[in-house]
Amino acid sequence: MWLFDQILSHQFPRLASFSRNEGVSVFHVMHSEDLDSLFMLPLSSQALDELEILQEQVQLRNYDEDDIDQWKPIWGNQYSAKSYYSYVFKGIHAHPTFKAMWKSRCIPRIKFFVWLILVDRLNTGAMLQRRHFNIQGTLNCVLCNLAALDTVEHLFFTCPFAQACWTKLGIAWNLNLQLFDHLWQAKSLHNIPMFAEVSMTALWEMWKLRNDKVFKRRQPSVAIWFVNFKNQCLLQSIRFKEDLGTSYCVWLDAFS
Amino acid sequence: MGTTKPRVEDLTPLMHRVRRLSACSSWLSYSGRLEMVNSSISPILTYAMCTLKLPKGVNENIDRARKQCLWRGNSEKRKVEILWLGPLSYYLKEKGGLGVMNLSLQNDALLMKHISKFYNRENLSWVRMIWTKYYHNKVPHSSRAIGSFWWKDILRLNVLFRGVIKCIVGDGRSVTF
Repeated sequence: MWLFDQILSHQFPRLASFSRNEGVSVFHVMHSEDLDSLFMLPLSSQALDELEILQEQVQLRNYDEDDIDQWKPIWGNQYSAKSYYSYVFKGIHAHPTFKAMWKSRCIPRIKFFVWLILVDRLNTGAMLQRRHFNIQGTLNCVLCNLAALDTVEHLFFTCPFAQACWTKLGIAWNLNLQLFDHLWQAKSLHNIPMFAEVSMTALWEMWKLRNDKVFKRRQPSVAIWFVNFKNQCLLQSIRFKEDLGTSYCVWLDAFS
Repeated sequence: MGTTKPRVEDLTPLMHRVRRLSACSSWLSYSGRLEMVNSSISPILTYAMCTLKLPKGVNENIDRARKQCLWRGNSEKRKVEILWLGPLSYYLKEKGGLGVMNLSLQNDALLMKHISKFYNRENLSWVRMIWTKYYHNKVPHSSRAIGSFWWKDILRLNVLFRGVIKCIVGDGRSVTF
């Protein structure tokens, strides 16, 4: 019973209890001549009152029997599978960092890696512990000797090695905030061309150094990191548009 | 297509195709696998999903193949999935997920296109046929489900459909009073 913005059987409960066919169509009601075909007669007095109100309301609506019913989705004129699919996700709100990350011009490999950081699913030592893996060696961070657990937060931001890398680039994070918020805040605070790309590449190179240390026993240092970072950045800059790319390269060349 | 509802066994060619395609993912990086799942494995099913409501077993089977393609890389030994092919990876990319297609949701979305055509009485022969044969003087969503397996499957979605739709009443043949 869908008409006039409200379900009629809720509005007129007593009248509805007398109806012959609950699923009767509007077309049928409008074309029926006598009450007997619609309701079980006789009606009670309350139901009769409700019927009068209903009849008044129905007469206020203009009814055109040559028109065709139109069923329109709530988001627009045309139904499409895509719009329904995205409508289902409408209620979900994610941090804008995600969008900025996928929109950045890095190669997909780096994007996927940063996504793993954002949802905290990177295979760090802390992750192994969380999954109850039996590991002989230590789970602590391999880049420093602070005996801190190898978490995403530590590895990329609070570790002295990471901090040395960030100061080299001149990026300061406000680590009192949550991960998303300090990433987002830093983007607006720093005047670096292609900030998202620079920081994502930096994260990626740090992660590679950490893995080199764990799996190949190579000694990490800020100098190696910086050389790698610069090479990676130059490679990435091919993906940029020309005007953006030049300002980026100028910024990169300022380091020596 | 026959006159009876296709069973899981009838759809095995579809599942085999997905399995075969996902086999080469062990040589790809994570992002490569994601791209492969999103742009070549999931779309294989679109054609079938436009007409058929895939059985749950098929959906699960294909999800398993996609999950292994994405995380395990089809290697023989079992690896730990970083993330279940679950709610998070189903989310769209700007909502913090990976944008992997949710099969049953996409299936519903595609089939609802038929309902939309049906209720709006588009000038198609199957629409006219169903209206005159089954729903003469009746409202589809308030009468008993009748017809072929295909039409019953589709009509079952009208609860979802009416949740996202508003109706402008014309002659009122398809609206309950």
